[in-house]
This record gives sequence, structure tokens and C-alpha cells, in this order.
Amino acid sequence: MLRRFSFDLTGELLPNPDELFDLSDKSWRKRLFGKWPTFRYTRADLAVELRLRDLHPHQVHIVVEGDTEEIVCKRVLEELAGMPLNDMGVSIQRLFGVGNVRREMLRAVKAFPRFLVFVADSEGDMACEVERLKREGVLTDEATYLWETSFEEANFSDEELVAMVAAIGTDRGATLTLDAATLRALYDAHRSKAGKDAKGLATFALGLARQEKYGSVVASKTELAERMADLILDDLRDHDAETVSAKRPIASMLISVFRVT
Amino acid sequence: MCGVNESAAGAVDARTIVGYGFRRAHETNAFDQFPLITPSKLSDEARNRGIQRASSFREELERLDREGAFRPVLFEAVDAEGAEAIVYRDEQDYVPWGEYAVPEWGRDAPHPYYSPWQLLYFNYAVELPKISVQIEWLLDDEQRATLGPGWRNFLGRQLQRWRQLDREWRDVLLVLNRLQSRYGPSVKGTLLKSTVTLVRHPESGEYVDPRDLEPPFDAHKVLDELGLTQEALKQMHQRLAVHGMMADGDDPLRSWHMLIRMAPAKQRAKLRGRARRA
Repeated sequence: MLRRFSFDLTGELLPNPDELFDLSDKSWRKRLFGKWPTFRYTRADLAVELRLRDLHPHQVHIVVEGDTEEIVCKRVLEELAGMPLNDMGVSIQRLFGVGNVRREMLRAVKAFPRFLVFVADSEGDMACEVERLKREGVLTDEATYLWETSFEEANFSDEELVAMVAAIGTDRGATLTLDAATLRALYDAHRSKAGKDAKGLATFALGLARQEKYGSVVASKTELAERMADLILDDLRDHDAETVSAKRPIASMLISVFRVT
Repeated sequence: MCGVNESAAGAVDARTIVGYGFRRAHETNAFDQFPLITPSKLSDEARNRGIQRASSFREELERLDREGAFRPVLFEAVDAEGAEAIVYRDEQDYVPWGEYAVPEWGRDAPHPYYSPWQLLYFNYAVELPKISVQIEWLLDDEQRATLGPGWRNFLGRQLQRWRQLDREWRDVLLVLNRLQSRYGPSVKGTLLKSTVTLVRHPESGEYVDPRDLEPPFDAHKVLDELGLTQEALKQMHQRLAVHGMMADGDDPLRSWHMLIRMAPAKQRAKLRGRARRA
């Protein structure tokens, strides 16, 4: 009450009791809270306080570009932690197109996560938009994963993609006759021809697999994503985190998320 | 032997407020947001704050009043004609409480009232006249007789401070009482919302926000009314802050201060012991 009274008298805020014992220049408070000193506290201030004490329930918000990344991230994290994402304070949000990046990122920031992680392909205007968001302080270098090619290509070899599709076919009694070299040759040709409208490698591979000449293997992107998660988890069981991270950048991100939760 | 900590309240020579007293506070409905409390309520609140109370609490309170350590704001009494009357303690010298007694449940009893803000220094009022000593020393007449003049002097001063405690806190008490109608609702509420105790409109009888009944709040006029300077107010704020954080023993939640401050008043009221006193 005295502080408020003094503010009404002078327009200046007296220090809070804990600030009297804070011998620093208090710039850290301004940096963390955005404004300091403050007349009243807000829920945004509360979120900062909770984050300072590692108590904020919403630790990490991951924004991914498509459902493949969403499935892989969710599966791997839940297996690593042995609990649902919600219990870890992690949420995953899908981004529906480059045009939504700004709106969705700002919406995510308003949810006050401790870390905002962004995972997407560096296609079209995405790189420019991400750079702008970094300059505005919405995204950080450490928590942004932009794949030069695509999520699938950056994290899995052609051989692994083909093997995963083949395994799905085997479960259904179909035999995939597509090999990695053929896939790569056909995909490169497709990409040269289609330019920026080229399909992603996984979608392209699944399309080829459906063709009769490659075994009529019908597999969905969801099924493929589950196999990708299995592969990463198998890797993490068999090798140390550093080895897996070097081979699969997405694993590096997921291990970091797991460590901060 | 160890005495209690120095009272932060004693750091400033108070008693500067002369134009505002408990009579004026009472007559201007200053207690609407934080009503005065009975000894029974005071006892409950003291227990929540880990303050030791004598088994005969009323007698203890009268002793504290007599000694000047902790005085009621007012008594509900009856005048010579038997009509209800209010006795403002700061307008009277001490008289035995029996003189303020009014009939209650077939017997006569005094009805003192306190401000909840007095709980800020109630622990001092209880603890300042005490020290802890070794039992062997206490039971040994020869050793007790060796208590040197230094200690006697020190303890005498502590006792003297105790007898002035209520006076030392009077200004703080008056300022808080003067301001509570205006700022109390925001202190009583949640992070973003105030909680105001509504009062009946004197004419319509409907419940209204008491702030709507008052003239517009003019902070400078209130400061003048209290006879304070901005510097004195600043010192009072600092003194209270230090008192809360460390003067009455270290606040166990000191490094959690802001988080606790953000909790709704109802949740803060669930704190106990030293944490509640902060």
C-alpha cells in the first residue's frame, strides 16, 4: 500500500522488498520481465517467475511443419521420458504452411513456453521468415532447425527410407522392389523437373512404392513416420546420444528437449 | 543468553502524525476493508504466525497495554449514562481494563479492538521482554548474581524499547489505516483482480464499493493530512520491507518473495509461522 501511495504521489516506484537486498543494477529484471520496475504483476510476470525457478509447467513448445515430424517427435520424446508429452510440459503444434509461420509463432510465444523450438524445411520463404523472427527475438538459433533439404533427407539415408517402406510392405504381404539408388535417381530427376513444386522425398518414395513395377506397396506417411520413430529409438538404445545426434539432427533436438524437461 | 533482534520499527523515531488518529479513522470508516479484530481473532491470527501466546491471553494483552508495548485501537464501552461509547486508546492514559468493562453473558468484560496491521509487531511485543537462558544458570543463585552491568544495561534498554514499542509503530499503523480503504482492495485480491468489501449505501441501503462514497482520492492531500513528507514515507516503506524480510528473524521465503506476492491473498493467508509474519 505504501508503494502504491508513493507512486500516486511521485509517479515513481519504490523498490520491492526483495529488490532492497538485490545489489545488482537490476538490469536482469528488465531483461527477463520486459519492463522493470512494475506497478503491478501480471500472469506474464508469473510465468517468468516460474521459469526462473524451473517450475513453469509449459517447458517446451515445438512447432513442426508436418505430421511426419509431429509423429516422430511425439513418439521419441514419450518413449525417452516414459510419460505423455503433457506430463513433461511439452506441446507440439503443426504448422500449416509458410504463410502461417508468423501468426503461429507469435501465438506460441503467448503461451509462455520456456523454450520455443521450430522445426521446418528451408523451402520457399521459410528461411527469410525465420530470420525475421530471430531478429525479433521470437526464435533463437539454438532452438531452430531448418532442414536444407527436407526432414526425411536430413535425418535418414535413402537406404533407410527404402528399408522402412519395404518393412511396411512386408507386414502387408507385399515385396518392395525399389532400391535406394533408383529412388535417388528418379527423385533427382523429379526435383530438376518440378523445381520448387517438387514433392518431398518421403512422399515421392511412397508414390513410387505404390506402382506395380515396384511391388504395389501401399504405405501411408503416418506409418512411415512411426517407422522413423522406431529407427531413432533403436539407434538410441544401441548407441550413445552423441553418435545418434551426429547422424540424425532431429535426435539431437529431441534429446535436448528431454534434458530440459 | 540471547535477546531478540533489534526492532526495525525502532530505527526511526516515529510519532510524527498528530493530525490523524484512531478517532478520525473510525469516524471516516477507514476500517471497512480491514476491520478491527477482537482479542479472540488476534489470538487466532497470532497462532497462525507462530507467535507464542500466554494461556490467559486477555490478561497478557492488558499487561502489554499497561507497559506500552501493544495497545488496542479502541474499546467498546459504555458512558456514565449507560449509553454505548467508543474509547480511543490513543486519547487516554492507561487505566485498568475493568473500567471499560461492559456486560457480556452475565458478567462484565472489556471489549478492546485491534487493527490487523498490529500483527506486524505483535511478535516483538511478546518476545522483546524475554531472553533465553541456560537452565543451570537460571537455577544457580550465585551465577545469576554475577550478571554484569553490561548485560543489565543491555537488557534494561531492551525492556525500555519494549515499553515504547506501540508508540514506535503508531505512525505506520495510522498510515496503513488511512490508506487501506484506497489500496486495501488490491492487496486483498488476486494477481489481476481486487477484492473489495462492499458497504451499505447510507441512503439507498444497497451494497456499494466504499470508494464510490468517498471524495476523489488526492494523494498529496492525504500526505498533508498525515503530516508526512515523501521522504518519511519512503523511509517507512523501506523500514517495513526490511522488517518483513529480516528484522523479525529471516523470512524463510525471502528468495521466493515475488512469487508469494503474486499469490492470491487467500492463498498467502494459508502461510504459517515466520513466513506469514513476513
